[in-house]
Amino acid sequence: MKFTKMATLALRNMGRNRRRSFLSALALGITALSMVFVFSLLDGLFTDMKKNLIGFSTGHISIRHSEYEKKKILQPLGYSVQNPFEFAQALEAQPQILQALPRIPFGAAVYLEEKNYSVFVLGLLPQKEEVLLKPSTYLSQGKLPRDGEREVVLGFALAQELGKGIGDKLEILARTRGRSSNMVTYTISGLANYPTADRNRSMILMPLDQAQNLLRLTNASLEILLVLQPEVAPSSYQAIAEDLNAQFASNPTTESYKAQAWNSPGLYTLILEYGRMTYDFIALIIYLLGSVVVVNTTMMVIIERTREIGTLSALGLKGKELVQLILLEALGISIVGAGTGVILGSILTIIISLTGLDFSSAMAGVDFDLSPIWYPALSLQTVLVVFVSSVAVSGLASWLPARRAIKIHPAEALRSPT
Amino acid sequence: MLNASNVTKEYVSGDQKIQALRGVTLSISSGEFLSIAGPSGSGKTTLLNLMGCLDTPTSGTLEFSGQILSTQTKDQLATLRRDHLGFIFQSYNLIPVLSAWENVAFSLDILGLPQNEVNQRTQEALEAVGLKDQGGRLPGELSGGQQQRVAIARALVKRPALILADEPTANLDSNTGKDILNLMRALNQKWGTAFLFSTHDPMVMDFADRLILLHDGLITQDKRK
Amino acid sequence: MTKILALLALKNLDRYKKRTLITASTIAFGIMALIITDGLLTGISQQSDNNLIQFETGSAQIRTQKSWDEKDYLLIRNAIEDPEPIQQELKAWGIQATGRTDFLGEMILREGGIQTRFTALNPETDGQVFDLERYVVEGEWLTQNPFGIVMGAWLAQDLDLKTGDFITIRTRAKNGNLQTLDLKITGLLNSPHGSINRGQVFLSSHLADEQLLMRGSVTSFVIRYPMGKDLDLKLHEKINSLIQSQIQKDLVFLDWRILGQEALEIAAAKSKGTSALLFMIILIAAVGIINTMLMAVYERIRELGTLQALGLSPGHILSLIIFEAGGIGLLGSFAGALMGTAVNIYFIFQGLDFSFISRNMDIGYRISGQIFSSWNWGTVVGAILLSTFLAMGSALIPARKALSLEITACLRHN
Repeated sequence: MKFTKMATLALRNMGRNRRRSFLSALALGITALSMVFVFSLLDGLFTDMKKNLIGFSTGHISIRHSEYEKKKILQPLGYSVQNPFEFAQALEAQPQILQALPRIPFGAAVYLEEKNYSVFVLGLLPQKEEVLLKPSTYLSQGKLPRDGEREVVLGFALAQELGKGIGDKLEILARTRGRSSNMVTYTISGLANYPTADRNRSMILMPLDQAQNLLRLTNASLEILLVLQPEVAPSSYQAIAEDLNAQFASNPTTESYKAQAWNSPGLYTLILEYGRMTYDFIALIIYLLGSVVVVNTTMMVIIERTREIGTLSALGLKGKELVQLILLEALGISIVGAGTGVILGSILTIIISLTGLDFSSAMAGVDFDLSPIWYPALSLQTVLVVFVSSVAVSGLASWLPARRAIKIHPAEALRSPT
Repeated sequence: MLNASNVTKEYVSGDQKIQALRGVTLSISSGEFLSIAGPSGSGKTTLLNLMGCLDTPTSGTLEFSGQILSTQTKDQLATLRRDHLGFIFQSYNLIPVLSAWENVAFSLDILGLPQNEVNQRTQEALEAVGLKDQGGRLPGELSGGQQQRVAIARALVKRPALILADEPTANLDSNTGKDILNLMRALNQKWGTAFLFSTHDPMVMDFADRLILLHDGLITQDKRK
Repeated sequence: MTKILALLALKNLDRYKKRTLITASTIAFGIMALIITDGLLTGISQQSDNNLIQFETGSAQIRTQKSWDEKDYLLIRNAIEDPEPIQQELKAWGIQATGRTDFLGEMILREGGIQTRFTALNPETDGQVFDLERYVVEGEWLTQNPFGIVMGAWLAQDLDLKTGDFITIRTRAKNGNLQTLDLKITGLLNSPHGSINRGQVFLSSHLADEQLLMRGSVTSFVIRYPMGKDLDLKLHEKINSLIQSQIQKDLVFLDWRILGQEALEIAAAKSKGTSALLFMIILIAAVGIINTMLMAVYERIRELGTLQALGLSPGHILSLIIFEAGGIGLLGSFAGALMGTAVNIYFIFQGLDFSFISRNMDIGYRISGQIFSSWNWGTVVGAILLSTFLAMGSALIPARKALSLEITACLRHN
């Protein structure tokens, strides 16, 4: 029988028992809907984590003194990157590198009578950072600090805690390169709202030259973060970093520097991997559950229409065609169900992505850079993957009972009461 | 025992109203052996269902053993069926998960009779329909004729006042059909159970003591032999 | 009658073995996931609570009000001036207590420095309330030598230090003056409490008394309850009146639950997130169950009609269907409970290795390496009951639909 004729027949059969077809489609639809939503949520999450990691900590590739990483906890100002501006310029001349941004991240304290309030200061070039940290996007009040001026931007919770506002002054105490202390007064030029409560309570942005001044780090920075050209694929970041390392090794001024791509194996990539694996596993289980429904329906269809199948067989329909007929019906239900499910799931995702889901209570106390409000991110890929796999899994699962159709002997079938 | 008085029954099918019975009046006394005949669509099955307390009339009265059926609740009707009526269906309708024995015993189990009485009567019933050794088989393992016999045994074992059979021989070959009819006749004579069956088979129509012809929802003939 | 219907239900379940098993497996999986997750969560929070009490807060503490208000700053000047009389009194009541002084200081090494939490303790009495000595993995615990310190093993690792090394500490003494001390690492500690391993240094109170000018005062007085986690009210009142009667007027008595409030909140919040996920799994399993039940009923409409013709009332039919659904629910939940408990037992004895994560970051729970599941009979029983009722409940809808048909229509079905 021609395929189109069979498809039409299958379609009519679906309509025969509309309630049952509807229920199966519904079950698959619910599965598909939740999958689209969950995957979008996770995508949004991982994208957010990536964005925070890259923007605040690593850039695409980070360049630091090789000893600095090892002693990072001690804030070893001795292991710095010399002549950062020249170095950055030289790096930017390389074709794949868009920007090279020197930074000085360090721990310090705000001096309050005798109570020292621990803070984390990021010395950076406020204008240039629009391509990486994008500090103006976090600015909630006031202005970014200006190069050469003793200005700082505080996380808003930090300002609150200290009881200070824009225009007020505060004293920051830090240990210098020479291992003595230095304290400088700054004016608060703006307040920022960061993704994590932690940063809001402790982060300060400071112009790079001011940081150099405070720490007595003449003509040096602690790291240079690279932003690569947009057309460079993330999968090649590691190779580029290796390349840079080779360049560094060959030059005595740079031989102690080390370049590292953000996505080289480490704690964060491991977390991302484990996270993905867990959720893929859960997705598989959920698919199976959803498929159970379609399989059940297919089995029922076969039992119910044994006589009819026998008739068709007696009329000369080949076994293969019988299976096809039943499978087509199952596929039809799957397509309708999964299709509706992904459409509704997409709508739900878009609606929720406008407000986000508040997970702040679950995130309390967790150490890594993830905002407490989760925004799902819909992507065409997610929609397609969910749709295709839902249909495929349930279609495949129906194949087994469908095969039973061949084994029905026409004579026996015709005697059956149905 | 069973009195129908100007009974009508209407169905709604799609958006059409179908008058299955247009006013049927008849009486059945205990121990009668009668058949209702007529072409398809004449209302035989409907009449049988009404008399079997499976359904209630749209208008008119049905009275069974002094009880007016339209005043009975669903539960009361169920009890009526359980205690006084037996059914034999065209397609046997045995419970597929129960063996022949268990199918028959089921009728008694739901009456709450003690186990040894159930066993004894079930054995008797199976013997009476000639299936003494087939008790352990599942319906799927029995032939059409055998299944119908089990159905008869199931209906019989209760010793109901009335057994209703809807085209009992329709799915059987003529020899088996004859056997079944003879069996029912024998049981009617032995136990005094009234038998009422619907049919369009002339051989069956011949068999009964009283023949009621139904046409288009009305009785056209009611003759005793 | 009930017995008859139950038997019939059982036979029907057996007839559709494959479908029964598939549906039951769906339930089983959900139950198993629930039990395992619940066991782990309960276990981890129990462990965290225990570690909280055993290594961080003790059962309760006496502090100054200011010390509690300014607890983030760990200022050495917020001290209990004269803890001796309190200690004596508590001892007389059979309650163990010890004084500790917590403060922030900077550890200075060749390459740089790091701000660290320091705790000065009394080596003679500390062991009555805390049990740190046995977690020393290298070197030895604090002795009378005032210039020896014991450091968290992970901290030492991060700083590339070992026993025998000297470090310089800079901090403020009680009178506000900066003090620089050269101290020798005499021991390393690896305890079940991750934060201690990651960032705490212990030194003797003799040092604090002499070099930091504490002279017997302490920033907190840690108490251990005679048994269990809770103190009976009478004793509670006694201690309260004891501190009221002291010369120093701003003392407060804080139970571990208040001291560890942050940790407890974190634990509570985490379980909510996991519950949400579990809820979703169960929801989807429920959909599968309902579908199966619907099919089971619709397939047998004719049979249900026959049963009614035989004299079963609508109520009986309802019972039959509910029994079947309940049977599947029970089968699935028992299987799930069994499997879940088996895995749980493994986690109870072997535990789950969290050391990689807890070594590198703080997830809020007070743990360090292995986490162990815990028994939770309530969950197991509750899960079985819940899922059985869920299965029975999901059969109601199709049953009702089936019963809404006239018997004659049922008999005509198919």
